[in-house]
Amino acid sequence: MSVRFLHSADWQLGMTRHFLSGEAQARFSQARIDAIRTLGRLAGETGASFIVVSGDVFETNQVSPQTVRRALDALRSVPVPVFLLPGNHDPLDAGSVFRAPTFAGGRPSHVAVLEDATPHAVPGAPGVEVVGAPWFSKRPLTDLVAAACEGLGPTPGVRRVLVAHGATDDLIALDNPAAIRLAAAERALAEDRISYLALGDRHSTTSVGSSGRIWYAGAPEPTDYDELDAGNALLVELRDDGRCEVTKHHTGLWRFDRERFDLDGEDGLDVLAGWLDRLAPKDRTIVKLTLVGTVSLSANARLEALLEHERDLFAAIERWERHTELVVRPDDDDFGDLRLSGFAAEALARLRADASGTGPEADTARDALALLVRFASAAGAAS
Amino acid sequence: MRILRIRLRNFRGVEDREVSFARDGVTVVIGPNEVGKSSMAEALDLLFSQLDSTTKAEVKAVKPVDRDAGPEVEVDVETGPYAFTYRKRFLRASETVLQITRPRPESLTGRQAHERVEQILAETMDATLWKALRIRQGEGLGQAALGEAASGSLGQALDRAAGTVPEGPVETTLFDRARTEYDLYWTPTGKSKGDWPLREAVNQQQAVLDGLEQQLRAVAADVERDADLMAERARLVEAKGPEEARVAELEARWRAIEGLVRNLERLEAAESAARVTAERAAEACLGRDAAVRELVASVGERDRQRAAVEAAAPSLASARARCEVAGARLAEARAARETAEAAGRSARGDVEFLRARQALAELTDRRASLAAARAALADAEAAAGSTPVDEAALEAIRAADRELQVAHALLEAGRPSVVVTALRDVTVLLDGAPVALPLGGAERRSVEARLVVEVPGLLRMEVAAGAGDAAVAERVETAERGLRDVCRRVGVGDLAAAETAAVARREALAARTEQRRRIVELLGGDEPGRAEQLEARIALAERRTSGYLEARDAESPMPGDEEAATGRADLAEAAADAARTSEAAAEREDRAARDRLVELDGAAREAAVRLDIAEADVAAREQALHGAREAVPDATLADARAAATAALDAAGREAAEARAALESEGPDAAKALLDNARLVVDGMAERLRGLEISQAEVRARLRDHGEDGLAERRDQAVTARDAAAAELARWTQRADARRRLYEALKTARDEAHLAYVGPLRDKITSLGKVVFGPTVAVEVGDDLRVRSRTLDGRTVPFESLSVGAREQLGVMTRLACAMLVAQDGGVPVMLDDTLGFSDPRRLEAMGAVLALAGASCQVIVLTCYPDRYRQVGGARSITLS
Repeated sequence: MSVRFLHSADWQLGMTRHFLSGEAQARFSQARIDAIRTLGRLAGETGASFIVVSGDVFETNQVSPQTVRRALDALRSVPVPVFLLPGNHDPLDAGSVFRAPTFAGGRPSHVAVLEDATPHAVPGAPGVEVVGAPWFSKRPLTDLVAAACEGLGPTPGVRRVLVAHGATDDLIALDNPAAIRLAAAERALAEDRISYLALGDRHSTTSVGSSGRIWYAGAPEPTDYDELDAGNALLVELRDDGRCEVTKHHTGLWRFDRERFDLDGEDGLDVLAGWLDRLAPKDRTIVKLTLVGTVSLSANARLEALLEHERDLFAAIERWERHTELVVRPDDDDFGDLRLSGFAAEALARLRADASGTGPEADTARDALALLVRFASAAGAAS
Repeated sequence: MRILRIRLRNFRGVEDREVSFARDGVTVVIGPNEVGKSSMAEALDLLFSQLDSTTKAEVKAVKPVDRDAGPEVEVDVETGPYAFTYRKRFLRASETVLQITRPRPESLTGRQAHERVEQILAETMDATLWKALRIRQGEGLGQAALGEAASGSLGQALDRAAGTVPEGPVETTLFDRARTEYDLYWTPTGKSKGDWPLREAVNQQQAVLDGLEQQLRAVAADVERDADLMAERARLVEAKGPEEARVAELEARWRAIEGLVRNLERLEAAESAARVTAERAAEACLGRDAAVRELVASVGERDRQRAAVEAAAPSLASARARCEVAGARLAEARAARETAEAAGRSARGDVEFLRARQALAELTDRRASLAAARAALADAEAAAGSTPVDEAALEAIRAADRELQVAHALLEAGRPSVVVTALRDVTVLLDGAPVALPLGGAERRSVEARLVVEVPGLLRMEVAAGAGDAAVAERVETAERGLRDVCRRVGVGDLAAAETAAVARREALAARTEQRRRIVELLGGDEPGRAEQLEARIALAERRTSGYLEARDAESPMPGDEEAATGRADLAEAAADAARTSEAAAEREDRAARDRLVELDGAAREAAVRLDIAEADVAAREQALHGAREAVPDATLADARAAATAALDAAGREAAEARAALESEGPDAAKALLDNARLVVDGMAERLRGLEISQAEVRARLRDHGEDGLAERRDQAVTARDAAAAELARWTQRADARRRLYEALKTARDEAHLAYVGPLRDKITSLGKVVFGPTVAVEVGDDLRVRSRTLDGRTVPFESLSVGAREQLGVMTRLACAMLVAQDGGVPVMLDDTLGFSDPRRLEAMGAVLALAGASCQVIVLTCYPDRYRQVGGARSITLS
C-alpha cells in the first residue's frame, strides 16, 4: 500500500523583516500562518496521510506567545497528523519553544514534536514510521542524520521517513562536524533503513544527491531575495513498488525580487517604471533595486518621485547601496532655464563645483542644488 | 543715455519750448517758478512710459488748461549705439513717431515705435536707476532708493567695478525663499531646531533595543549554561562510580585494623594496672626508709638546741652587770649637771642686779634735771608774760615816734635859720652858749622864737622868728600827744624803754623755747605720757634692785661691777654646758647596756622553747616508727615490691607485641586514604547537588523569560529604531541642504555687495573731499546707502548730519553713481532745484563737484535760483522765460 505525505520545512514563524513597514510586516507574518492552512488544504486535496516539517518551524525559541498561539490555531485546521522537528533556529534546548507552556499546553493531539530519534508510528498510515533527528543546540558537534540512522536496522514491511535539518556536506565545508554526510544518508537509504530523508534548512526546494529520496522542501513562503525556488511544499509518495515520487506544489503568495537598472540612458528611468508597473501583486512583492549610472538633478528628482509613488503600492522597495552605484551629477540642463545672475549665479557655480565630488559634502551640495532649482524655478515663475 | 534736446508743446503752461542740453558736462536750466522746468522731467517720464493713446490721469494733468490741444513731447536721444528722435502727442490727434539715425536708419510709428524705444531703452539703460538719480523738488534730503537701483545699471556698473555679474528680482526672491526655508530648520544662531523629538525617538528606540538585546543575551547564556550543566552532571555521575567502590574497599581494610586497635587497647590497660601496683609497692618501701631518716634528723636537731641553751647563759650574766654600772654613772652625771646650772643662774642674777642699779641712778638724775628745766620754763613764761611790749605794741610806738619826727622836721623847716661863718678862728656865743668856730667853719641855727648871736667883744645880734605855721605846730603837738598816749597804753615811758622791754621779752620767749626743748629731750619725746613712763621705769628699777642683796646666797662675794659679774656668769654657764654633755653620754651608755641585756634575755628564752619542740618531735617520731614496724615489718615490704615489678614487665612485653602487629598494618595511611576517598565522593555528591540547583535556577529563569517573545520584539525594535534613524537622517538631509543653499547664497551675496560698496564709497569720498575737506570719509552699507560721515576723526551717523550736509551727500551719491556708469553711456543725472540748504561756501564746493561729475556724465540741473549754480565751471546755462 503506497503512502503519501507532505514534506514542508522552514516556516520561520515569527520572522521580522526590517525593510517592511508595520502594516506590511503584519501581512507578511499573516501570510506565513496562512501557509499552514494552505498545507492542510493541500493534504486534504492530495490525499496525504500526514505532514512532516523539517525544522525551523519557528524563527527562534524566543518568539512571542501570540505567534505560537496563532501557529497552533492554524495547525488545528490541518486534518492530518503533523510532525514538527526542532531545527537550528528552534533547537530543543532549555529555552525551547516546544517545551514552553504556551506550545506544550496548546499543542493539538495530532501534532507531534520529534524530540528524539524514537520512531513514531503514524495514525492511519500503517507500516510507516517517522523518525526525527532534532537539534538540541544551535551548534551540534555531530552529523545528526548519521546518529539517527545508527539506531535503525532494516525492518521489513516498515517504511521510515527520517526528518532532519541542516546542510549536507556537498553544500558546506567538510570541516563542519554537523554537516549531513550525504554518502552515509544514501547508504542508509540503500540499506532500506530509511525510505526518505526529509530535509529542512535551505529555503529553496532542492533535491540532493542521486537517490531522488533526499529533498529540501523549501519554505512555504519566500523569506529573502536570494532564494531560488521558495514557496513550495513537496508531496511525497512512497509506492508499494518501492519507488518514491516527489511532486512540488506551489504554496507561496509573496515574492522577493532583486533587479539591477542602469539609468544612464535616455530611457533608463522608463525601463524601471515599466518593470515596476508589470510586477504583480504589488502589495505582496518586496523589491530591492540596484540602480547604477549617472543622472542629472532633474532625473534624480523624477526617480525619487517615481519611487515615492511606487512605495505606496509595493510591500517594500529597497535601494541597494544607492550612494555608491547611482551618481547624481547636476548638468547644464538642470540650470539652463534658470538664467540666474549676480550672486545667485556665483552661489550656483560654487555649489556645482562642490557637488561634482564624492562624499557627504558633495551629497549635501547636490541636495542644495536640487533645492536651488526648485526655489529658483518658483521665483522665476513668480516674477 | 544722453538727452540732447527736448521740445515741449502744449504741455501744461508751455506752449512751445525747445531746450538743448550739453552732451557732456552740466546744463543749468534757469527759469522762474512755473516756467516749465519740472515739466521737462515729467515730460520725459510720460514720453518713455506711456502709450500715446493713454488717457491716464497723469497724462490728462499735463494738458494745457487754456486750449484744446494734445500735449506733445519730442526728444533727441543718444543711448548705446543708438541715436534717435522720438516724439509723442497725447490726448488729441495722438501719435508716436520714431526716427532712428544710428546705427541704421529706421522709421517707426505708433505702438511699434513705442515698443522699439522700450526695447532700446531696456537694452541700453535702466529706468529704475534713472528715477533714482533724479531728485525732485522736496525729495532732495533723503537718499535715492539706490538699493533698488543696485539691481539695475548701477548694479551692473558696480558689478563691473567689482568684477561680478548683476543680480535681479529673481535672485532676490530666491534668496528670500532660501532664507525662509533655512529659518524652518535652523535658529538665527545656527542651532538646529525641530530635530530634538527625532533624536529622542532614535535614542528611545535604541534604549528599547539595547534592553531587549541584553535580555536575549541573558537567555542565550542561560541556554548554554543549561547545556553545560547537563554535560557536567553526566560527567560527574560517570566519575562517581569508581570512587564509591574505592571507598568500600578502604572501609573493609579499616575494619580489620580497628580489631587490632581494640586488642592493643586491652593489653595497654593491663599494663597500666600492673604499673600502678608496682608503683604503690615501691612507694611503701620508700616511705619506711624516709621515716627512719627523719627520726635521725629529729634527734640531731634536739641535740643542737640543747647546746644552744647551754651556751647562752654566761653572756647574759655579764650583760646584766654592765647594765648596773652604766646606771650608777648616769646618776652621778645628772647631779653634777644640776649643781653647775644653779651656779650659772646665781651669777646671771648678779649681772641683772648690777645693771638695774645703774639704770636706776641714771633715771633719778634725769628726773632732777627735768624738774630744773620745768622751773626755768616757768620763770621764762613769767618773764614773757610780765613784759608789756610785744611786737605789735613796739611797732605802734615806733610809728608814733616817726610821725613826731616828721612833724618836728616840718616845723623846723618853717623856721628862719641863721648861719654863722667864721672868717677866722673865733668863738661866738649863741644864746649865750659859746661855740668855737675855726677859720671857714660855719654854724647853722634855726630860730625858734629868738636867737642871740654874740661875738664877744665885737657884736651882738638878735634874730627874732616870725609867727610860723600854726598847722605844723599843731601836727607836732598831735604827734607828741599820740606818742605819749601809745606809750602810756603800753606802759612804757618812751620809745627807748619800749625797745628795751621788747628785747627783754624776746629773750624770755627764747628761754621758754629752750626749756621746752630741754624737757622734750629729757623725756625722749613730746608725746603725752612720757613723764609717766619715766616714773614707771624708775619704779621698775627700784623693784629690781630692792631686796636682792638681802635674798642673795652669800656663798660667793658680790662682784664689784657688771663686767666682773658677767665674766663670772659666762664661766658658770660654760661649766653647766659641759655637765650636760657628760650626762647625755652617760644616758647613751646606759641605754645600750639595757638593750643588749633585753636582747640576750629574749634569745635565751627562744632557745629554751625550741628545745622543748625538738624534744617533742623526737618522741612522736619514735612512737610512729615503732607502730609501723609492728604492723608491717621491713622485709615484707621489700618482697611485695619485687613481685609487682615482675608483673609489670610481663604486661609491657605483651602490649609491645600487639603494637608492632598494628603498626605493620599501616593504620594512619589506611585512615588517610579512606578519609580522602570519602571526601572525594562527598565532594562529587556536593557538586552534583550544586549543579542540580544551578540548573533548576537556570530553568526557572528560562521559564520566566522563555515566552516573553524577546527575539520578535528585538526584531521589531530594530525596525522601529531604523525607521526613527531614517526619519532623523531625512530631516538632517533636508536641514543640511537648506543650510548649504542658504549659506552659499548668503556668502555670494555678501561678497557681491561688498564689491559694490568699495567703488561707491571711494567715489563719494573723492567728491566729498571737494566739499568737506581732505579728512572726510564716508561709510557705505551693504544696501549702498551712506551710513555715516567722518570728518577730522569725528564720525556722525547720516541721520544726525545737518540738513545741508545730508542734501550734499545725497547729490554726491547720485553723481558718484552716474560717474560710475558714465563710461557705458549711463543715464543723465537730473537735479531739480536741489542744494537749497547749502551755504555759499558749500555751494561753491558743490559747483566744483557738479563740474567734476559733468566731465564724465550728463548732468542737468533745473533751478529758479541762478545764483545757486553760478559756480559750476563749464556749465551751459539756459534761461527760460
